[in-house]
This record gives sequence, structure tokens and C-alpha cells, in this order.
Amino acid sequence: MKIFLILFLVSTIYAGDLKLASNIFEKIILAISHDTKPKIYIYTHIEAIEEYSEKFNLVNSCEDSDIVILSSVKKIPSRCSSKLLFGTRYKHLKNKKVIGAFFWQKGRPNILFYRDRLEKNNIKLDSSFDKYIENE
Amino acid sequence: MKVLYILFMFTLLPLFGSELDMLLDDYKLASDLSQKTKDESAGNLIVYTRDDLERMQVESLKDILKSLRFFTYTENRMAQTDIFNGDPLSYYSQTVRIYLNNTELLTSLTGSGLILFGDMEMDFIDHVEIYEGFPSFDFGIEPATVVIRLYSKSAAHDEGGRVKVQFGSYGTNKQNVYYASKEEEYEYFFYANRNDEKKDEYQHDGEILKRDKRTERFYGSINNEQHKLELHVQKIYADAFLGSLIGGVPTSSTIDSEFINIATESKFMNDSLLVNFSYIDEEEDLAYRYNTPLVLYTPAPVGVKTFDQMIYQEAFTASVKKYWDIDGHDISIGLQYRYKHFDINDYTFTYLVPPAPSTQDRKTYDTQNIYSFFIQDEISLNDNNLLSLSFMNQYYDRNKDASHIHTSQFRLGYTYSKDEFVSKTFISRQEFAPEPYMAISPDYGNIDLEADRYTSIYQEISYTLPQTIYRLVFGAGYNEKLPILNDLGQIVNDTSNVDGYFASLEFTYKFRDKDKLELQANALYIEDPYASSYALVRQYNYVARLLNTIGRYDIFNELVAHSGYIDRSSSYDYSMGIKYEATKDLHISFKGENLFNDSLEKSYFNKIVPTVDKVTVPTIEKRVLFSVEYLF
Repeated sequence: MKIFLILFLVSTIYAGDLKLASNIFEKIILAISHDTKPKIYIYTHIEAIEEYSEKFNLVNSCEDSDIVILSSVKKIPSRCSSKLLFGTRYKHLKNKKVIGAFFWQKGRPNILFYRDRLEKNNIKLDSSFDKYIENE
Repeated sequence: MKVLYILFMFTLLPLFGSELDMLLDDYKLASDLSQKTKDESAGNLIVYTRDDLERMQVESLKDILKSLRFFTYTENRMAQTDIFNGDPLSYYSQTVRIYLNNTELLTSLTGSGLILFGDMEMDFIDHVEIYEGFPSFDFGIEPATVVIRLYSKSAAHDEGGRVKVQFGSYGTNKQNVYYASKEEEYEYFFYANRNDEKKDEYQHDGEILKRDKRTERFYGSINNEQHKLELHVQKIYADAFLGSLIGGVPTSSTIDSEFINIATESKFMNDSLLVNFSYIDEEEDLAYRYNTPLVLYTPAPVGVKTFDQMIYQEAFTASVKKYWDIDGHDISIGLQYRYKHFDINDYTFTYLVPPAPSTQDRKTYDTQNIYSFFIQDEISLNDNNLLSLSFMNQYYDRNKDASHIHTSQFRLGYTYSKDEFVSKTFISRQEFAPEPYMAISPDYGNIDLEADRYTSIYQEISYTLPQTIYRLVFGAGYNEKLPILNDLGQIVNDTSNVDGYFASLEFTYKFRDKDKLELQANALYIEDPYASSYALVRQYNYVARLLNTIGRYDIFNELVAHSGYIDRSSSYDYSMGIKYEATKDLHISFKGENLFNDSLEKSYFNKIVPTVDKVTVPTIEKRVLFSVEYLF
């Protein structure tokens, strides 16, 4: 809203957190995909990915995607259910089809995958993700 | 020794995290909510981020106020926060305004809520912004010299819960819990606290003076994208130290209070229209007992044995603010209304010898309606220059014997920014209406008190590099019609101007990954209206603060030194803390405050006639605290 540079500096820092979030999403997406440039569908709104969309191969429908990143699990279109679902809230993991999530909890950002859900989808994450994998 | 060394090295192991760990750590710091709420152009800003508050182990707002630029933490004679205290006046910080999120915490009588919340525990606070230098008008309905904005934790970052227990010196103990959750359509945050703060006792004239305080608090908020509802309840059961009366030392003195606030906030038109409502109900219960009757001059001396008073206050505030962004102009307009009611007439004295009934009717009022309007235009002249013009106006409609008051404020701000260099200049001229306690206090009140006027210029220059920040703040100002006590003990407008000059030099150095060194030296020169020829009081404050993270340990060291203060010419307060992250969810902390017991002291009048007698106590006491936090 504000054009002026000093406030631009503030927004730059704010943008910094979106950029870092997009970097984390990028690492996660590449880790869970068998593809080097997987097709991503956002349901319904993830600011960090939308802001840095050039990093991602975004598509406009679930049918065309490899991975669906969720901001909500409410009324997920049925055509998305066969895709890899990844959440952005801890509560999204209550849906058994969601393989993992990147979320804020207890004042800190967290990444969590459930081992059996990864195995069910034949996903083998590299060792840097070991500490973020738990048994359900 | 070897075993200790191995154990220590073991705790350092997590220092070497993976790239993903570091990315998450960087993301946590960059996501601090202060980045989204602070407004650099609104004044000379000091920010304490979530990371700062946690690593400094900030337990109460007092821990921040004691190292505030140009000022320091002080209490009034009833052991309540009053950073501009001018004893024997019971309160002098009426222009320091405090907000929790977008709701002003206030009492109807004092105007500012610092008196009730100045040492509030900070366990439910995410971050703090302090604006000095007559900040922007769009913060509130009335003008301010200092604005303290506290932002509560929320489900956005704190989904889940935390319990905390603490034990400390003299039997101090604290327990609190919070829980936050985000549902599909709404989110909520609930917090409950019980804090029993025990302090040292002070003997004077054969009596023991106490400053212990028990605080109970509930805060809850529930919100969706558009609307927010907040409920805040605070109960305080406290010793009142010397009490408000002058002339003797109480055998016991207590001041209990109950504060209830319900507030709503709504956003419309893409968040460009904000509508806020807030209702505050507050009761205070004062009780003083004297073994040796207090000699109160009314005007003949009488011996007071007991004093009891109930004070009832309420305030309702409604505000509408609209923002436009038109061709480089950020225009904001606000219409605000505040209703205040107060009743101080429920009191009882018992005397050794009852005084003759008063034949004079004391002038008073008990209701005040404030109508306020502001307009502000922030003009982006180009990418480097911002001009800010603000005008605010209030009309105080007071009932009974009090006349109406009209006040206005004007503020001109200019900000220049190029690369690492930022310069901010603020010129303001503000009128402050007298708060009700100054007009109707039976001790020193003056219903004819006029608005006082402050004119000031502030200049801030900062130079920010990746690892270092240099900052210089300086300015000058003068007060017209400043409220002061006259020889008869009545508050009156000073007939001469009171001038002040101030300067602060600050340096921040960030080294290694998360370590930070902060140095600050500031000076405040201000004319003393009670001294002959308005002699200058020269006060100097120095702060050195070091924050380190080594493995699982957060280590905090702080030295706050003062010189030139009337009650103690030089003093220093060294505090330190260690926080150990046993697991991600279990944290154990140790903190020592004023460890060498050499902090600033403050004197309070016990007697003025026939001879002056004072009681002197430290503003910050030596104490140690041990805490355990568990996140779930």
C-alpha cells in the first residue's frame, strides 16, 4: 500500500519471510516428487507459493497436478483425492490422505511427515528429512 | 570436571543443524509478527520482537521500561507504575498510552492505563512496539508522548498450548497457561495467569512498608478474517506501600482492583475501514490503617486512624477509521468518541479527633464525553522522501462544575531514506487536557486546570548494515502551562515554560548466527519547575545488552546504569539469564535481576510539615527467578 522506501524496507523484510517459506516449500516439493519439475495445484490460497510462482510449475486444476498444496481440507474436490496432498496446518494431518504438512505451531514453524503415509505413496525422502518423519 | 565438559559439549551438538533446520530458524525470525504491525513513520520506534522477549526472559513490562530511551521505570507512592512520577502527585504519566492489540488500556480517572498495566506479566505477549516523540495520531483518541503497543500471541503462530511455572526470591511464584487453535472459519486464543510477586520489606518510623502484589488475569480472543472479539479481566490484590495520604506511615495499606474490558474490531472494504468498540469497567478498593494517627492538614491538623475508599470507573470508546491510497497520498481519517464516568465519593475516614465539618463545597465532575477527529496525509514525494501531515482535535464535554475543554494537535513528519541511511524528523505541537484525577482529587485537585501544551522537534538518523545498526536520536521541546504543585499543595498550571533537551546514541552489532550486542547512551536535560531559576536536571542512562545463543542455551546479560537522578546520583543494575532448551517443548530458565543490588532509588514524601521526611527504596529490587515451560 505504501510506496515510500522506508515502508518498502519493512515490506522487503516481510517479503523475506515469504521467500524463505517458498524456499522451504520448494525443498519439500522436490523431496516428495519423482519429477524434477512437478506440477503443483494450490487449494485454495498459499501466499508464499503464489508470490514466488516462478519457482513452481503451477497448474490451474487438480487433474493436471502431481501435488496439491492445501490451505484448507474443507470440501477438497474429489478429483484432487488421487493426488499427493500436502498440508499447511497440523490439523490437515487428520486427513489420512495428507502425507505431511509444513505449519506453525507452539510459536515455531514445523515440518512433519508420517512414515506409513510416505511408504503407502512410495515416497523415500532424503536423510535431511529424517528428523521430520514420525510414526503415526 | 571431565564429565561436566562432556555434558556441556553434548548440549552444543544441536548447534550444527542441517540446511533445512537453518532455513526453518531463519524463517522463524523473518516471520516475526512485528514486521507486519510496526509503522516506522509513526514516531521514534523501539521494537522488542518475540525472539528478543524470549531470549531476554522478559517477565513483565517493567523489564523493558527500565531501559527505555530517555526514561526509566519508576513507581508512585502506592507502588504502581508511573515512569514520569513527581511525588507526592499520585500519577504523572497520563500522556503515556498503552494498548493491547488495537484496544487502549485505560482508567477513566488517570487517562492512561500504565498505572495498572506498567508491570503486567508478558507471557501472553508476542511482541512490543514503543513509539516515542509524540507519535502518530491514528493510534488513539487522545494525544500521547509515548505509545506502548503490546500484541498478544495468536493462533497464527502459536497453535497449541503452553504451561509455565515460576518460583523466585521472597516466595515469588507465577503459574500461567495458554491455548490457541485455528479452525476452518475462525481462530481463538485463551490465556490465564496467577502471579504472586513478593518483594523486600522496608522499615520506617517503626512500621513495615510492603510492595507485594498478586495478579490474576484472563485474556481471550476469538476472530475470523473480518471480526475480532476480546475479553480481558485483571484482578490485583496489592500492598499500597506508603498510600496516597501524606503525614504518616501506614501499619497496613492495600489497593485491590478489578478491571474488565470487552472489545471488538471489525474490518471492511479490503481492510481500509476499521471499526472498534471497547467497554471498560473498573473498581478500586483502597484501605489504609495507621497505628500512629496520620497527621493530615485540612487545614487544621487531624489524626487519621483509618481510610477506606471504593472508586468506580467505566469507559466506552467507539472509533471509525478509513484509509485511502490516492496517487502517492496515504490518507487516513478517524472519528472517535469516548465516554468516561467515575465515582470517588464512596470513602470513610476515622479520626483520633474528628475535624469540623467542611463548610466549603468542593467543585467536581463525574462524567466526560470526548469527541475526537483526526486527519493524516502521508505523501510519498518520491522513492526517497515521505512527508507526513497530521491534525487532531478533541472536544471534552465535562458535567457539573467543570467547563468544556477544546484541544488540538498538529504534527509534521519528514522521512528521508536512501540505501542504508534513514533520517526521520518530527515537529509537533500538542495540547493535553487535564485528566479527571488532576481536577477532582481531594488532595491536590484543581477543576480550573487548563490544558498544557508541548512543542517539540525530534530528529532520528540511522545507518543500517547487514551486521550493524548505528542510530542517533536527539531533540528539544518546551512545555507551556505544565501542571505542577504550588506551595499550598494544589495542582496548578506553571506560568513559565519548562524546557527539555535530549540525545541518544545507539549501536547494535549482530555477530555469529544469533548473537547480538546492543549499546546505548542517552541524556535528558530538563528544567526543574520546583528548583530556583528552573535549574536543569541532567540525567544520563546507559544500557549494554548482550544476547548469545550457544547450542541449547540462550544467554542474556544486561547492564543498565543511571547518573544524575535526584534520589541517587549514580547507580547500576546488572541482570543476567540462562534459558536451556531441554527438548523442543521443555524449557528451563534462570534469571537474576539487579544482582549487585545497586539499582536506582526513589524517594517518597512521608511528611512535608512541620519537617520534610522521606522514604527511599530501590525501583528495581534484587531477585532471582527459576522457570519451567512446557509446550503441548
